[in-house]
Amino acid sequence: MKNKQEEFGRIYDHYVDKIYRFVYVKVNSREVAEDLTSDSFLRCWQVYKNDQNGINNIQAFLYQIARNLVTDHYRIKGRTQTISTDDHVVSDPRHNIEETTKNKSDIDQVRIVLAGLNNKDYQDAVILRYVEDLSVSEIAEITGKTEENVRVLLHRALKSVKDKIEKC
Amino acid sequence: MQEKDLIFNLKGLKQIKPRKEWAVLAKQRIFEADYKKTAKAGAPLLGRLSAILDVFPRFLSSPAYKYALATFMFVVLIASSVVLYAQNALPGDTLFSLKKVSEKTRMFLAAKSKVSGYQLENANTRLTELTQIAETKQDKKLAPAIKEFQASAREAALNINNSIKKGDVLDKNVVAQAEKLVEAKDKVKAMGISLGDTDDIDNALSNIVQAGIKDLEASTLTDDQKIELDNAKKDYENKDYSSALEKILMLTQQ
Repeated sequence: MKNKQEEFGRIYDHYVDKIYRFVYVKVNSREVAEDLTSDSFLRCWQVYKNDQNGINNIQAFLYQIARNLVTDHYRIKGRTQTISTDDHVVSDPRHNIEETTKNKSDIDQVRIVLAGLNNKDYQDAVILRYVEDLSVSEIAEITGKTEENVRVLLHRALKSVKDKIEKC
Repeated sequence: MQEKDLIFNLKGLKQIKPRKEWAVLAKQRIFEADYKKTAKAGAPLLGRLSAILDVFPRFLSSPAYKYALATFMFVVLIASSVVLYAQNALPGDTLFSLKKVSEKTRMFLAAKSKVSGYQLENANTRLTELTQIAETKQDKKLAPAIKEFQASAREAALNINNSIKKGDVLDKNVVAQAEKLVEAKDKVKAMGISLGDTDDIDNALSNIVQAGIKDLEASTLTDDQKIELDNAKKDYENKDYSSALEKILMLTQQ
């Protein structure tokens, strides 16, 4: 059991930022993101410790749990999503102050539009591909769709985000 | 916004990171929750105590402190259980000395005016133990039980006689315990057990009755109460200390 704890501890360290970010962008609340992220790891650990053969793809498994928990969260809460802009202030590392300020507001705008997307498949595809840099095949495994479907999703999702930003 | 810019901005969201302290705490909780389940399912008592301490998360966020406190609580729990169990010990039992220590501790912590009453209570307890031993035919324990009674009776007698000599007013509990003691002594004697030399305690009981009568004579009494006091005096003259004490106690409580 101790070995499994150590192994899972390393998995946690590797994925905690990614899962938190994935959840946070979807729920747009630090408290909810923290709760759902820790629940995701807790559920994963319950399976991991009892599984003799090990989980085939731990990354996909974690994202799947997180996705399901977010869905459950919205099912319970209804669509009472609050768009917060001050939980995480994101900024660009470029040195030019003017550009940094502009880019910071651009990134925040993207974050708010992404969090407000009604189509959760679009949301997942964009976050996993462009924020988390996952490959199409990895996204396909997480979402349970074919690679072809993921490509189409990505194309439409990006267009949707772009349209919404232009409307703002 | 161009697609290239959009993707650039999306990548900027990588800056979102959880709070470090939350990440550390959440990691601990994953395994702690697991440990708590094991504790509830019958794991060692130490684990259960540790789980109880989770109600103080802020004070005991460090597992080391939590385990130290859990160990301390465990030791206190065991010690309290042993002391509690020792209250049923009889003279000749291993834990009997522990029972006496707890009695002595109570006397040490008591107010001076209460000590005589507690000493008579202890003498009464010794007689109860003696009765129990005789009834359950634990013959080997009879001799140590009689010895223990004699010691506690001597101790009580000495203190009571000194208090009366000094003119201290007797505590109500002294009179009540003295009455009990007379009855218990009679009961033990009726079982055919010889308590040996009890002159000291008999003398102390006589002094208690005397002092009680003296105190009542000095107080204002109704006619009925005066009659009852006269009856108590007669009982005393007849060496019926039990009846005399009963009347004194009743008059004192009115």
